[in-house]
Amino acid sequence: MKERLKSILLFFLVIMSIYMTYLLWISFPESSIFTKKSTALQVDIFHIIRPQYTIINLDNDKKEYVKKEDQFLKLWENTIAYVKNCKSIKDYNIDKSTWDEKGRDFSLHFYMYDGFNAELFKELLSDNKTFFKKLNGSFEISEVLFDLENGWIYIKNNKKDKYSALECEGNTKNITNYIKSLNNQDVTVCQTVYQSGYNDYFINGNLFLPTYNKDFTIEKLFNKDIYGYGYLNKIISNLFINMSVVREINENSGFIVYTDGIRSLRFHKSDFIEFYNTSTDNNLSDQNASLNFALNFLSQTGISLNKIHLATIKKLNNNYEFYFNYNANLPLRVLDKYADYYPIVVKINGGDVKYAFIKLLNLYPGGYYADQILSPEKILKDISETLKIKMPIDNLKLVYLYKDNHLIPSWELKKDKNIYYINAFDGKLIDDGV
Amino acid sequence: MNWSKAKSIMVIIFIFLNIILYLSIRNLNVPLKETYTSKDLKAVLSVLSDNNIYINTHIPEGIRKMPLLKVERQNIPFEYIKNSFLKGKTYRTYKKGGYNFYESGNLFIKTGTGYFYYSVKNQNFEKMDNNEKAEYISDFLKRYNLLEKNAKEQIYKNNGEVIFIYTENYNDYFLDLGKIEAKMTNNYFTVEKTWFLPVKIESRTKEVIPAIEAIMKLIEINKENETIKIEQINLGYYFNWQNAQMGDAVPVWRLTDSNGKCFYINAYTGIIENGQ
Repeated sequence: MKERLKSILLFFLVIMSIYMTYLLWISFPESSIFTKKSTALQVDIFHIIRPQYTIINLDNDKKEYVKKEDQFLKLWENTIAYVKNCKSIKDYNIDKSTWDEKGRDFSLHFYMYDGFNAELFKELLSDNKTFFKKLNGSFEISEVLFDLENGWIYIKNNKKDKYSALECEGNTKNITNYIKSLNNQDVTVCQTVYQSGYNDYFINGNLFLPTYNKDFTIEKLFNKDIYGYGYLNKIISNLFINMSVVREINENSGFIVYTDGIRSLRFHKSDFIEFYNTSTDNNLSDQNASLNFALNFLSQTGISLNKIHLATIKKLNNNYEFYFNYNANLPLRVLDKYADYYPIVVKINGGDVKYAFIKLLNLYPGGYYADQILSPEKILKDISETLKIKMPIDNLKLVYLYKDNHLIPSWELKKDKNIYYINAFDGKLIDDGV
Repeated sequence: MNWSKAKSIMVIIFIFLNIILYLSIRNLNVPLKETYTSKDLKAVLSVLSDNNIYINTHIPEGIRKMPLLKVERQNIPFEYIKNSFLKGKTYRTYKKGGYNFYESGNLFIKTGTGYFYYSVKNQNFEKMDNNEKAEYISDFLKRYNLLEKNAKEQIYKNNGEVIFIYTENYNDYFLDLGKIEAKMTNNYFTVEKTWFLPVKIESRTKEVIPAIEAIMKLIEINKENETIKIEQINLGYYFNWQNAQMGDAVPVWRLTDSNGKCFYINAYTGIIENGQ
């Protein structure tokens, strides 16, 4: 009987100790294990800062459009390595005719995104002190031309119609050999039209016209949802300094908001997140430091920095707005109720992230489209007739348009401030951009 | 092995373990002691008065830890409105600015997310004395089940105006904006109600800042250097997210001035709180 009582008492004491351990655990204020550690940024910056399109100019006036992400990056990476390591001889201001002439030689032609200025490259290419450092920080680098015959680097400021050249000595053999190894799967023959008439149509901006043969196929891309509530819990714990004061609000519109009164995170199902920060800290930070803040922030939100690149920079006083795009073989545009154009934007003010919008996409390939895309001539003919759009248009580009959870290969047509998206396969207008 | 002896030893060990755990839990939950001495307090009050801020009330001490409180706005359903106030009546209904409106003769009702407003005009109200008015209001609130538990009642009778105010409380803490106000003035009788349903209290409690720290925030608020006389200092919950049906109410220090204006200071972080 006594033994039985002892057993019952022991059982009771064990249960009590488990329960009180639980009570003690939940009574602890948030301790250091809940506070956030800042992580060192692990990213190859030239995967983030990269061109929008890459064209190989062959000596016989033939042009090749680099289709694949891997090849595209390899060429860019090698060019950056070349600029870092080459021996600078002299730099020159050149005129348009020289630029055009060089574009007909064997060269690599990189078309950059808007807002990429010399400031962005100055620090990152600090090994090369002569050329980029001499440029005015606001010099916008819209195109880079790498002459593979003489090793010179040319850059163009599209807005101001200015051209510069860097005479340097280096070894271009590796890049040349690499280009020779590319096959039809990697590149396609194309022509570019710039500020000139194209058949009966006139285009002010850049137009890359892939040759329409069976080699030109577009990769199918799908979005696989991986951003569930487990992901949400992770980013909340990353973004808030003290989790214990974060409260949850269920908005009538379907958003869930997490806020500590200063920082707020809005989460819409598994679709996108918005971040607001109302702190009034005001530390001065330059463009590159601000970019670093933005990248740090994105890595905290669980976005893999290997899967995105910088698309545009906007500056207003001490505010920097960085627009990022997901990596894909064609540029990606997002068009839905909440996102507009680029899927990711991070606004930095006073050295801190003040606002961010992230469309959560996890892109994966799923084969190639069997259909051929419609030619630019057909698109231009149709729009001039049906939409009554007068020539010249500003730009025509092949892009992936993300709409209603689908990625649609589309022609993006810019005219004045309007952007039109036309399904690249059936020619139907997807959005009139008005 | 002597199993009986082993059990005895384990019983003793677990008794000690349970005592230690119990004492630890008790220590964690005792009221926090203010670290301010009376000398410190005097200095703080002096700084405040230099900034035209005067404290005319007792400053609370010995504050416990508080958890977040999940609340849900109480919505008044259309069925209730129809069966209670519009039965057998011809009425007009329309929507505007996120609110629903119902009108029938002298009757006017407005509802929204967690909001209810009732107004009726009747010449007979003017003929009633204060006691009759109070009786009418009390009966009305009971008849239509508009009263709530956990409410603090205040009744004002003044110059033919009778007002019943019920403010919401949860575990002795105010739940700000949870309020029922029933008023009879001249020939109008109105009822306005915003109420929260406590859904869940978070298991983890956190320290709240001392009242004096919250009061010091007034210096930051009073940029115009106007005279602020604080008449009440209370600790409670605040949820003011307009477009949300449900969410966590945060502990706040509510500082009420002589004009009835409230300043809310987040009791966890000490930042000025708008509830959003």
